[in-house]
Amino acid sequence: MGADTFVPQIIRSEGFEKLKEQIVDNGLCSRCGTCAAFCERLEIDEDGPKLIKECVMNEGAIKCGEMGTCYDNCPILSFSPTDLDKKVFGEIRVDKVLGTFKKIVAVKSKTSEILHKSQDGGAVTAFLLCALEEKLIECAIVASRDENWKAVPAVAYDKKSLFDSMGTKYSAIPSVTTIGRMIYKHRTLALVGTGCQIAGFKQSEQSTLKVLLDKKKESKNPFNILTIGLFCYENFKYSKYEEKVKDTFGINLEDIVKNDIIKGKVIINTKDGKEHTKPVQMFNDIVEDCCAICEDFTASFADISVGSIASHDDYSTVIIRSDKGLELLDKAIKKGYVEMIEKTMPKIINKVESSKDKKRDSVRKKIEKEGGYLPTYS
Amino acid sequence: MDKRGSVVVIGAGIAGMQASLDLAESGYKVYLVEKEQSIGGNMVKLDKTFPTGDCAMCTISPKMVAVSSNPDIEKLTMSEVVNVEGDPGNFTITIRRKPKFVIDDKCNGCGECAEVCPSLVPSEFDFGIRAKKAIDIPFPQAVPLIYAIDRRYCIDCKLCDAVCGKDAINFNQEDEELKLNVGAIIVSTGYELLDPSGVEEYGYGKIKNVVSNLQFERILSPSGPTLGHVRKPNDGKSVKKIAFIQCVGSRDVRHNPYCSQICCMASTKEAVVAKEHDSEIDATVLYMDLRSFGKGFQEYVNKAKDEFGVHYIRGRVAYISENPITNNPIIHYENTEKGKPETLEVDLVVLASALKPSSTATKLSNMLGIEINNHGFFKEISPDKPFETLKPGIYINGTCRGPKDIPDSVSESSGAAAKAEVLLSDVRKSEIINEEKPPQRDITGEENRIGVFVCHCGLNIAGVIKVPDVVKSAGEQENVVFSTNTIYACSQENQEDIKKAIKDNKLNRVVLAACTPRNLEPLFRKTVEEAGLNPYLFEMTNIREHSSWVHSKEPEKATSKAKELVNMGIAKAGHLSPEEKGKASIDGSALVIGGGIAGMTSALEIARQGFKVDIIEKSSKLGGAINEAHTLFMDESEPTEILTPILNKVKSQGNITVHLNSKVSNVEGYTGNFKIKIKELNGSINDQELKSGAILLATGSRELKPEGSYLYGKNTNVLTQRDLEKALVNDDFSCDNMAIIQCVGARNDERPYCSRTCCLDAIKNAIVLKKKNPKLNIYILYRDIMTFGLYEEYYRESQEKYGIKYIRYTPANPPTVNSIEDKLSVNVHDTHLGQEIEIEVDKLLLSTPQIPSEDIDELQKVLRVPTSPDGFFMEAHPKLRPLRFTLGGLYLAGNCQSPKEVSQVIAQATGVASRITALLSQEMMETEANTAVVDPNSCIGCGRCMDVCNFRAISLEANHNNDLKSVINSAVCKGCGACSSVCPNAAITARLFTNTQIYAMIDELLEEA
Repeated sequence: MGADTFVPQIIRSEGFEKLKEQIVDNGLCSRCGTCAAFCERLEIDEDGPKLIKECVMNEGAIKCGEMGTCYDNCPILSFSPTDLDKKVFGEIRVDKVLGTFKKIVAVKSKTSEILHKSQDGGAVTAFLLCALEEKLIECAIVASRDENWKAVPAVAYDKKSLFDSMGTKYSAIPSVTTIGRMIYKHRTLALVGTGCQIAGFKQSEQSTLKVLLDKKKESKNPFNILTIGLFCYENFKYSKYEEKVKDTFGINLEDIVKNDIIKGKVIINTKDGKEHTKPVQMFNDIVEDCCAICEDFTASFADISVGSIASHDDYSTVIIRSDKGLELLDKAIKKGYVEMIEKTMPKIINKVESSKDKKRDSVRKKIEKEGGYLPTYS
Repeated sequence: MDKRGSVVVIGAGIAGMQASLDLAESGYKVYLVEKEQSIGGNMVKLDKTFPTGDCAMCTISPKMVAVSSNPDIEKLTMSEVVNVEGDPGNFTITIRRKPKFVIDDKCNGCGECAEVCPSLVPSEFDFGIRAKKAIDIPFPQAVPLIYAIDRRYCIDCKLCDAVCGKDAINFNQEDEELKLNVGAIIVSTGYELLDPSGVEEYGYGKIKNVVSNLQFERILSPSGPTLGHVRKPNDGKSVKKIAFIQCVGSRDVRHNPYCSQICCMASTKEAVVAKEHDSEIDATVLYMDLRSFGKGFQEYVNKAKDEFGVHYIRGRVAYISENPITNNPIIHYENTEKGKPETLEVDLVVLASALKPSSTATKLSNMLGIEINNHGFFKEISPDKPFETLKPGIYINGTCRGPKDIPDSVSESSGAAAKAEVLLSDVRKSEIINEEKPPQRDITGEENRIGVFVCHCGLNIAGVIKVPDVVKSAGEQENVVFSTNTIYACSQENQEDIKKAIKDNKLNRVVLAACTPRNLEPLFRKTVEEAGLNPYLFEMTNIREHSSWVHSKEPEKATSKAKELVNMGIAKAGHLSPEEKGKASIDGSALVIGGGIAGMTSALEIARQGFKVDIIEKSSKLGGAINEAHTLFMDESEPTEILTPILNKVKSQGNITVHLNSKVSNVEGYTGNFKIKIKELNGSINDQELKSGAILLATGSRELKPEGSYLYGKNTNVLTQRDLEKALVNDDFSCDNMAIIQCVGARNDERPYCSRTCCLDAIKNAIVLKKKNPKLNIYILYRDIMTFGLYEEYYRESQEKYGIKYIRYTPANPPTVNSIEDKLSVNVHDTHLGQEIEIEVDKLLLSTPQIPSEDIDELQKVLRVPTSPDGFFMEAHPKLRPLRFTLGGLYLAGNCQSPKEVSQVIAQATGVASRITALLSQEMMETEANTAVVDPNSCIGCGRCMDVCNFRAISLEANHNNDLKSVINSAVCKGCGACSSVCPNAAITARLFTNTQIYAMIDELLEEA
């Protein structure tokens, strides 16, 4: 109880209204789900977060978190990556795109079921399987998809549910909402997500979850949340995706069995066993604005980041960033879940990232022109 | 129909708590229903209480703990009554409990949930000026200490659930209804403050630096939002100039016509406390009449003025504006002493907002079928039956009947309890818990086998102290055979763990290192007892308050201190021996000194509960001062209306013996066992000796005869109020023009106190005379009209309906009186007119104060009880123990404590009966085990112990060899140890803190150092 409990002297939170104005209505929401992770008054739908019950700030609350539990952690809002680097890794990144890392390797799963179903080396699934089977985690929050190729968050507790969710998805899902809402019943979890999702969750760990995590640090069963980031160039608006696939490929979503983006090409495998390819540029007009301005291609706040770029076809590129990540890699090798090749700094990643510069500039200019909120990351 | 030995008390403020304690102590099961999250009501919101300046929380907290730990009081918080059926003796009452979303039995009040909760919300307990969490307790000392979620502000993040080590959060809780069968219902729903924003001219809610009085109490409170620093809401800076405005919504026909009774003194106290915080603060009270009518009130106001320099301005505030640059409120008022408009700019304005009935009162009155008055307060059936309602078996007390202060509320709550006790006396003790004690293992001859438990208290201890290190170090101590840690020592699981460890390891001493023994020691002693050990083979070491909390920044040192403390506890434990509580019988009868209305009322209430009562009356008849009155109360009822029924009841009550023309000449003994000698004044009967368990002083007061003042005693047309009433009784009074002078011989240097009843008497008698002779002109010359509370209406009526004229004078300019032939000429400086006026009258009435009865010194000597500076008897505590003396078994009620009106005398007298029957009904009194014992072989009979004992527990008695030996009465001994420390021959041992035990602790500490 400090002097800051004197209500007239407390700066009130802005609450969801501010987030809605700056991000959601401004077309910048990535639907990562961070805003709704700790507030059940919000629900994430096709267009982003919506209040399903009055915001507590409108009910007379004085503060919800700092500026709002939804607002505090949003990864699209301006924030300082160097600050978060310091908090998460205790050091500041040298390479802007690659982020902080301990080492970069190429990894391939040794499980045939995984390899069969996955893009590249199946590293993510292999790591999760290892973590689950070695009891490092109770469950993992992953992306699954429904029959319409719509990505939805799923919780994998074992090998079966993990395998059911395999494969890359190209529309954003509110995974952070799922993990946020599960934290009260689990102590060890893994979150798989793109840069925005990982950043959102990591910011939560530094604000909303900080007291909880600190309190349990010394306890018998402290929290241990493993984050596996996915390289993410951009995401498509799901609402427009079906139409776009039909327009460009002439294929209905329900006929697709596999859908990847590799080396600038959208590759679709259909039920009839055929493979269809189109340049990814053709999908530019359905890319989310927030993806265009995003500067976190490699999910730089995760314990481990995984992507297909910069490795051979049947390997995944893996960036190990934290001790936790290193520990998992070692265990996965030791227990025979993966095999590994050491790598040097892959310049290609920076090159791919910078290929987005033009698009980024044009979107930023558009927002500026419209007078909307323009986030900065410095 | 079955009569139930249980009572529902609705409202758990100080009144409801006291009623519950009285009832439970007297052998009734109590259901205490409270709509808020904690018991305590409004008193717990106060910073300090006057006149003692004691911290309100420190004063009320022991009562809260007593309620909390009493197994016969079931605390139903966040609950409301929704239905009542049945008849006196057997009511069915339906209670709806709102969900806390926290499981009562699991929550241990550690507060981690509030720490992780992201939602900061306005605390209703602090009237919105302090921020708390959406899951919280209203204040740190809340009872029960169980957190609750306010779902209005909850975002369902469930972080509380994630952090709770006890799994106490349950988001699925719903409203719960329970039906209770009880014998009686006591309503003590208290008051609320009028929202001052309704009194628009004062700008509350618009001008930032205008707060209400209870908000200001929270600002003053060390546990409030500013930690007791008087700060301005607009910029948080220190307040240098402050004004208190009285009668905000009170004495105001637009809002509440009545006087709120407590504000003048509350504001005076707040001004004093503010100045105590910061002597630079300039404090002003703006008032209409300064109502300092109670015991010690005027003296306190004098102190505020003279010692603290608080300014008082007699002025009515027109409106408050805001200085647009400084945000300072500017008060625009009429100075009614100077008769001109003035302004005052201050940093902060505190509005003394009116008291109004609880918002639940009207609904509740319908449900209960009892009446409320036109202001919404519950209504008694008549002024002489202050607690009774239209519905037998349902009683009211405290501020739900009308504004009143804490001591009056406390007295009343005991009174209402007495009423329920009388109704249910034949089913007393039928529903209370009788716990059987488990058999105890004999540890004679056993080697010491000590078990040590070190509590984490979540992170309260473990967050600072390395608990495993403490456990390890304890385990290495001599005789320690078992040593472990526990996350929450107080949890139910851990009680089972302790019991199991005692059995498995054959422990014969237990040391627990945790929090303060103040709250939880009884719980752990019980656990040890349930495991078959004597409960005093338990030692508690405080490593939370004494180490982890105070040394939170130095974990290393805190850990090593904790180790030392625990090792000292272990050293002491090695010398613990089984102890037993003693028992003392209680004589089931009471002695009442004084046969006036107070004494008779008490005697009747006690006798009706089956106890014998002796009334000692020095005069030749019962009735006391009322015998000489002409009319009573403000409704001008005849004294016989209340006196005759009481006299008849006393006569026919078989348990009462009346001793007229008698005095108490000697008293010996102690609580529960007094021996009293009675002397018959006419000498017709030999001295008698009586025994009693309790003694009540109800010896009344007398009117001051102001010989020499205003021609009194020289001119037969100058009378006191009593003289007038006597003349009226004899129908020997007539006049056409009359003046009444108030405060004659009162509120002056010689007699600083206000006598409370003189203004009421003057107005009542003026109305009586006006009714007889409407042409009569009456002028009342006053300083401040003391028509406190609902009596304000009579003041208004006396002006509006009866045309009685009021002239205000100041003590600096008192009236003068001259006799001119058969007339009297009264000259006075009228402050309203601002000029001298002369009134010619044929009768002059002097309102003089009540003064202590002439035999008070004698009684004081015989009973060895104290008096206050005003000469009246002094109660044990002016707020919470108004009806008893410090020494056990001695009680007081009525005017011998301080002057009061008849209805309040009856209220006190009824209340004290409950306190007395609570004692008498125990039959056997359990005495504490921590008392001192004398080794007669070492005692040299020097008597030093007797001199230092503050409780008169020690006497010197001759043994068979005729040697004087100290004898300690364990029924009276409080275990303070003073005797033990002065004994030159180490003959006295304070049990539980023996020399051997203390030396062992010191040795242990020195050894380590």
